[in-house]
Amino acid sequence: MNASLRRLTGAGLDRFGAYLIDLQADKSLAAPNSLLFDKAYSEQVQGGGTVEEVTLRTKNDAAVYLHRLLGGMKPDDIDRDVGLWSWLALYYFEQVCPVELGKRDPHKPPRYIFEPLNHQRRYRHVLWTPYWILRVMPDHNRIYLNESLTVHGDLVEQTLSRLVNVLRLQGFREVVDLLYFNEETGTYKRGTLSRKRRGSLWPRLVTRVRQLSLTYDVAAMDGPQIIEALGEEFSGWVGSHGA
Amino acid sequence: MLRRLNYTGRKKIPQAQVGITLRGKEQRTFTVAWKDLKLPESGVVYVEAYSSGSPTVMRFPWGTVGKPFPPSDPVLADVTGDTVSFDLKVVDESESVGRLLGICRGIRPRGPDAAPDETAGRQSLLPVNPIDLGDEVWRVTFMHDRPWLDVNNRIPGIMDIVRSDARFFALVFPAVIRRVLIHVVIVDEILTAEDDATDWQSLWLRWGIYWHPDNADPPDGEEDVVGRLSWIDDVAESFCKRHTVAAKLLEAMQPEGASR
Repeated sequence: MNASLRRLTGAGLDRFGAYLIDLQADKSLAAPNSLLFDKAYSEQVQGGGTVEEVTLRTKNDAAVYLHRLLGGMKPDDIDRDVGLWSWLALYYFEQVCPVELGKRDPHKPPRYIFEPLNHQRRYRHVLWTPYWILRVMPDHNRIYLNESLTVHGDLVEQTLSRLVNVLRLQGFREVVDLLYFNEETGTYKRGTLSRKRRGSLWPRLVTRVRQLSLTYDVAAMDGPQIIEALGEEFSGWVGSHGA
Repeated sequence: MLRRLNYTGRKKIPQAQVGITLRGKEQRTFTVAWKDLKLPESGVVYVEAYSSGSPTVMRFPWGTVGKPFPPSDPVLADVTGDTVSFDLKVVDESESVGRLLGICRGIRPRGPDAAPDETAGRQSLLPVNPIDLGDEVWRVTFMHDRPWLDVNNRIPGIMDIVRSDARFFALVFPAVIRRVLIHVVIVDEILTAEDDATDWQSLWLRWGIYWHPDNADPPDGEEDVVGRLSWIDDVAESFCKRHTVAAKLLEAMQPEGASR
């Protein structure tokens, strides 16, 4: 069923939040879909598009679809709209928290109820995060988006809030893809997030790129140029060596 | 301990030599002027605009040091938030990878009514950014390589409160000082400040040393986190003492017209 885009009201958020807490105890509880179109719990988004019955298997599927759906709205407004993102999570709840063998495997509430003002937890939202990644990383984003929508993942949890200032650099995005994406497994290489391994994404790459930015115009450098400037510490990650 | 090294002769451009003027509200544009950069005429100039609360940085080519060539339409379309700052970079592009010849960071723009020869807005140690913070009143954030004091624009007159309310000053600023200095001396481990360094950590560290009762550097023992926290407490206490913060709070709490 296609429907106009809506947002949960305060009362709707309360009810959805209560459901998510109850769901932790009883994983077979049905989603409170009645909130979606009940005027007591949700309201129509002015200027919003029409939500569709689409299949969102990967984060990339969700990101591309959401950009199409929300293209007519201001990013600033979208990024603060708790009710909108929470309504979307409920609308697609069967996909973002599917039933398997009669039960769901729910994450904690911030996965479904958006917390835009919490700089750590906002990146946990199942739909806003892929949408935001595609906006900030229009290219070389597969390391983040080439993953099942139902998986949150350590890469997102540990790096997004820390990389927000460097992901805007096209060359940095290319470096992340060239060094840490494993073509064979379709995800990031082992050790990418290791503090012990030389040349890991966090914290070493971020530290080194910041150092380079004191000498070079990093904003104008492409990935291979940055990798060359990074030096030997990162050479073990080039190509399939780091897989 | 981290130290800032400058192997390449990169020049720090004083903010007094760069002026940026912001125009318009709905569609913000800006102009840039500089003087006496003492850099090669062929150095290519880029101006980058950013604000707290937005991951986006807009980059504008601005000709060369000797021959400025502004873009025809420098609109800050993608930089959201009320408080915009700028970096100006001068780049040597004679080789395949551009090297920084000079940089001026964190330039605060002037308003359109500023006198033509007025220098750029002084770099604020703690720019204030009014944004929607939900149920929070204030928060320190670290974006675009500097700290910001975000305050909740849902509160009427919040910027006036920040500027002149003794209660806000007394209750918020000592906490802000601690929060920022923890980031400098414990998270980033910046423990010495070179005199000419203009990065935000060095500016804040020099500020802390100035306010420390003995004008001492923070302790630099490798694991001396407790010592650094104590140094931060000393700075905050000294700051409060100098500004008689508690007395001013008491005065502000008196009912209007009450005799003291």
